[in-house]
Amino acid sequence: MKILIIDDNPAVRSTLNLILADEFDDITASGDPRIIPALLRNGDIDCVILDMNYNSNKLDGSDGLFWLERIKEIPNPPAVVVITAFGEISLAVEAMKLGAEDFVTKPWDNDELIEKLHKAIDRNKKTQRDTAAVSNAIELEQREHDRRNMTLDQIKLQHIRDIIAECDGNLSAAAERLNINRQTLYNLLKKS
Amino acid sequence: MKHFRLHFVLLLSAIIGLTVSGVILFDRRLYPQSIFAGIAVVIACFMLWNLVGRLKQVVWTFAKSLEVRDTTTTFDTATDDPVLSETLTGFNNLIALFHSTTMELETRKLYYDRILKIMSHEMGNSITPVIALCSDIKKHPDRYHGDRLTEAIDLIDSRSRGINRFLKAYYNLTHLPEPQTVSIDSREFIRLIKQLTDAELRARGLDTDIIRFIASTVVTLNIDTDLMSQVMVNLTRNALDAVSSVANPAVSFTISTSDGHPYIIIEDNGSGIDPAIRDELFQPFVTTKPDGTGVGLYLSRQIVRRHGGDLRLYSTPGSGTRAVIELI
Repeated sequence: MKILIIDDNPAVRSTLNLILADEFDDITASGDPRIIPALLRNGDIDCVILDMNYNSNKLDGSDGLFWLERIKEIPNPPAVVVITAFGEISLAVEAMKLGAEDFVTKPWDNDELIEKLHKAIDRNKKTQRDTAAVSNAIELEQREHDRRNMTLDQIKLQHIRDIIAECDGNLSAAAERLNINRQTLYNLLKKS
Repeated sequence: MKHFRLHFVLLLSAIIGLTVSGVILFDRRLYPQSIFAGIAVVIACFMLWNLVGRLKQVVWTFAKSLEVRDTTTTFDTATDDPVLSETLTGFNNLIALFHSTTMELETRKLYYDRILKIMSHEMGNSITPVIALCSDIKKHPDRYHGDRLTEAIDLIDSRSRGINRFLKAYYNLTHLPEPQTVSIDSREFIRLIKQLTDAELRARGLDTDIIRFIASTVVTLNIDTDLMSQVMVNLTRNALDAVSSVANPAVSFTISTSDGHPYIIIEDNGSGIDPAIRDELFQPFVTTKPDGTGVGLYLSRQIVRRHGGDLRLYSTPGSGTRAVIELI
């Protein structure tokens, strides 16, 4: 599993690296939150550990909330566990409302942190599966709706295309499934 | 209230005059006239009561304003009674004083809120690695050998020292002694400073001719040499940090006078300070350095100000920085 740590304090980054080294396969750490969009581009990060305070002028968590929103805007975003300062409960609640799976305060309990990370990743995966299922359902519903307005020829053509897709573009296999010969299949496709 | 005295005297005279004339008229059996005088007395009493009421109103308004913290109330001080005018001016001054004190308290509160926030942030970030690592080492001693163990111990060590430095800085911040000034010749002071700066250069492994001393005017300084040396060392360190990445680093110390005031000027040709943060650097716990406590400039300025002078920074990013100490 891949973890991304964003905290502007180098000692905290090193500590998290040491603590989590035996729990997670791949740990990346950065002190600059601006690198987040680039690192998340591949979609292979399972969880982001996000510190809430960066700019010493503000120290009110607004930076952290900003980046949390940016992370959760990405399609299929990773799980996020935020790190707040001691006592910043309202900030943590705000973060959860914006989609963070969980939070820890500084200083944290190592075991609790690890457990929260695992749970966050699980919860996030379930959410992703649900989201995929829902969008599939919507797509099927849409196609069903379209089919009502199609002519017989259009339905035939759509069905042929679906079968070809299922056969990964292999026309012979598709023709066999449709119980027609290849020549017929070509003719039908050419007509469209 | 403009003609308070006038009105007061007139009404009082009216009451007395009308009362007397009323009695005399009554005595002379001139009943209609005496009744008239009687009614006039009542009216005059009423108007006098009204006038006193207006005076009461002023005092009430003043007390109420302060009670509800409304500092926008002002009184028109143009009356013909000098004592009344002075009193009203006094009221206005008190309200203004209340206003500025309230503003000062609010600013102070924001200031301390900010300091507390920064302190918790710093302490939190230092104590967190110590707690997490000790806990992990205790729980999984088998995981910590060789490099991994060294790294963990180094972190615990450096963070613990960081907390200690921070506490010391905070102590200095809150226990600044009052300067014990002596008269010292500027040349003598430069000799003293040179010893400190030489030590600083040696500690950094730098060439001693990076720092030049120019005393263009021989002047007598009235300073606490210990405290001022602290300021010099602090500004020297800042200058040396600034020129650390410059090809031909140069720092100069100048003592001169202007307008009868002695000036100590420290100039460097370093990286300069971003104008956006320049004023902020004087606030405690603001630093551009990764391991800085952020109290150096604040303390330096406090020390100079307690001498009756001031410390100002001038900088052009990419060009250099000049610290100017004006003394009395």
